[in-house]
Amino acid sequence: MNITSYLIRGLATGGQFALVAIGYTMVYGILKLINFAHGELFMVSGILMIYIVADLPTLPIGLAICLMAALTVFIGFMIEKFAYSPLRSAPRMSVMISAIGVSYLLQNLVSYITGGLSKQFPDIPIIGESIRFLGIKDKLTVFLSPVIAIILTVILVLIINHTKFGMAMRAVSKDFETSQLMGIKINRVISITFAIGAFLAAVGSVLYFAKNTGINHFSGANPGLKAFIAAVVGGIGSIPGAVVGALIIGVAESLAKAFGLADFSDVISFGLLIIILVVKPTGIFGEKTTEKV
Amino acid sequence: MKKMMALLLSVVMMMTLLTGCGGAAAGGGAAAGGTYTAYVLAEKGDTYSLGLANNFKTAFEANGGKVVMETFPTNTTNFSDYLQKALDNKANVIFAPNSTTVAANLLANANDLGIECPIMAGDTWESSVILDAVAGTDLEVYCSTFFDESDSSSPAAKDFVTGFKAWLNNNAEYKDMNGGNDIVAAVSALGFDAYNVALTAIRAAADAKGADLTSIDIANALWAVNIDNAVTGKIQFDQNGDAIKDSAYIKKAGKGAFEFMKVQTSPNNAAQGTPADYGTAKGISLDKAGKKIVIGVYEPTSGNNAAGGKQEVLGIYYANSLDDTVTIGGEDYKVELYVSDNGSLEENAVTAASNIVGQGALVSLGSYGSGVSIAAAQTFEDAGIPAIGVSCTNASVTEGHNYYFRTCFLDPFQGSVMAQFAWETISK
Repeated sequence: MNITSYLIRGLATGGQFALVAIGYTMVYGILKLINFAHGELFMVSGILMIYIVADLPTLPIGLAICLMAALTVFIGFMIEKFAYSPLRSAPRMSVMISAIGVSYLLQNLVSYITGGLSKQFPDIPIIGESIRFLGIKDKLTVFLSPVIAIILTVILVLIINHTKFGMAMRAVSKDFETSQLMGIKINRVISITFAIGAFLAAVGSVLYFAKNTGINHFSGANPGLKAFIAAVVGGIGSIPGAVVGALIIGVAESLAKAFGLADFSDVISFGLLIIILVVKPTGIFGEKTTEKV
Repeated sequence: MKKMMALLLSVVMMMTLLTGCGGAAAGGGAAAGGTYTAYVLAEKGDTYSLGLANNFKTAFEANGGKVVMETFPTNTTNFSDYLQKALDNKANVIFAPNSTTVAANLLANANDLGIECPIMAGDTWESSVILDAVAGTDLEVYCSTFFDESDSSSPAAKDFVTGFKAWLNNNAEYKDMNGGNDIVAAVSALGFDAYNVALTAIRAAADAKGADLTSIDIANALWAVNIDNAVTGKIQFDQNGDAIKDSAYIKKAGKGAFEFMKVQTSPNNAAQGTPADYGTAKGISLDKAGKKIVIGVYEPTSGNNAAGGKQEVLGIYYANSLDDTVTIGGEDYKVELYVSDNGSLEENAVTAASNIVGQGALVSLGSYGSGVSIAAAQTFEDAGIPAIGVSCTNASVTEGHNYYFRTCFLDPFQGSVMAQFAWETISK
């Protein structure tokens, strides 16, 4: 058995989930809201890519990806404006229910547009090429995903720790009301948080769907759920935690399949979630509040 | 940050270590120790997939082959790790009897991994989704099916193919339902036959009982149906209510179309069945006031199996367009179809079947997909309506269900035919 191939594919899945998990964890850090619509936003960005490429065949693929990312950010921004922002002073449970509503709305909207049929993600040059590396043949996206996820995370962490805006984000996540009193425009901070989360989900969707090319309206459910578990395992609110959690989940599921436990790969993710919650309820990186966003 | 760097470092170290001792990727190699290995992949909770996979496994092992079988949870989209398992086990053939939604991803992944061995599946894969997935790859993909449009041995089949193509080309909406082309799917041919079987039974019941006929009389008449020149061959039901079939068509997914490979036969010695005991069941009476006969069409027009379900509905629509009047006691009754969507989901089965019962249907046709058919069997039985399965191949559809019949072959038959074909292909 060639364990390397399972490890690499596990890290790839982990890297892709990590980009989604960061969205969950950042929104939680700021609003204490589990944004259940985030997995669906990931799926919607994949669907957008399909329609952009089909409707604008002359557009170079690089620009198509930029346009898709911009639209995804816009949708992420609009979701916040229309579904969460009016509920700012409502109980947290109401916002959560609104998030679940948005999630079903996006699913059904896509189902209506696609007729419920699976659509093929376009071929993405470079990352969609099959290569042989370390004795494993697969698409380049598989080898690149964890690297891109870690690079983007490092950039994000640098922004949060070393810019004025990052300071504002940290302040809001520490104490919502006090930072408002100190003159921080929290609505702007929240909007930008959603935009960053949506942008990372868009990058994740290109990496993920370049490999898993069939997309239907349920395609965001599984990655969304796994990314959420990853965020909790890593310590919800912590960005490096989300990445580490996602890589652990990705590798654990892949290794489960390598050792003939394919039937239990989901059980292992959820089992891991329960063990972490029992042993360390705040997650792996949970206590380090300085990195909370 | 420090923790992340440490993690990155440990991952790199672990990979270097493992690459050092890990072997190179395997290909579809020669038979190890004189035997062949099949990798079988089925979907958890999918009656069709699991049933067919197990039937293939039994038949392949009976030939002396080795089978590695795994299952994956619903909504899985990445099959690389499963296919890697096939490579690790040096599989000579992969058997993956799954829905076309699964197949789209599975085949893309197989191409990424450079899988060279043949990939086989059952009747569901006879779909344009598979052709799209195979286009531009070197994958060798086969499926078994009930009918082939280029089969010119039977005049009934030839007439059907010509007529059906013309009908599709004259109706933009229907052509769209068929996936935008005029390729004749095997399930459309079966749907056509199922409708005609239903009409034959209704006419037989009308001859015996006149306008007093009920759905129970139709059920009784179905046991005696004997059609020699149906599109998909002779139709006669055995003691379980299954059509007595002895052959399957094997096709290969080629460039833009399925290529007919061969007819794989396997003897079927079943004899025509005798009517089941329907006791004092009343069933549903003929609508004398409305002068109409409703036939339920219980099919998935949405969900995972929508593509196949719609093609089955098309075969039924076409049959209805050719023959929609039954004369009973000197009066003409119009045959109306009532399509009830089960959404490809077992939890919708009872509601969808109850809608058909509520419409006063005398017979129900369908469904595409065994799970939904089994889930609806009790509802049809309680109402006393015979149901004619069109392409549901799982044995449990008719077993213990006296009101369920079917016009296609069964999974045990299909599984053994595919195992036989797989064995012949890889030992060549």
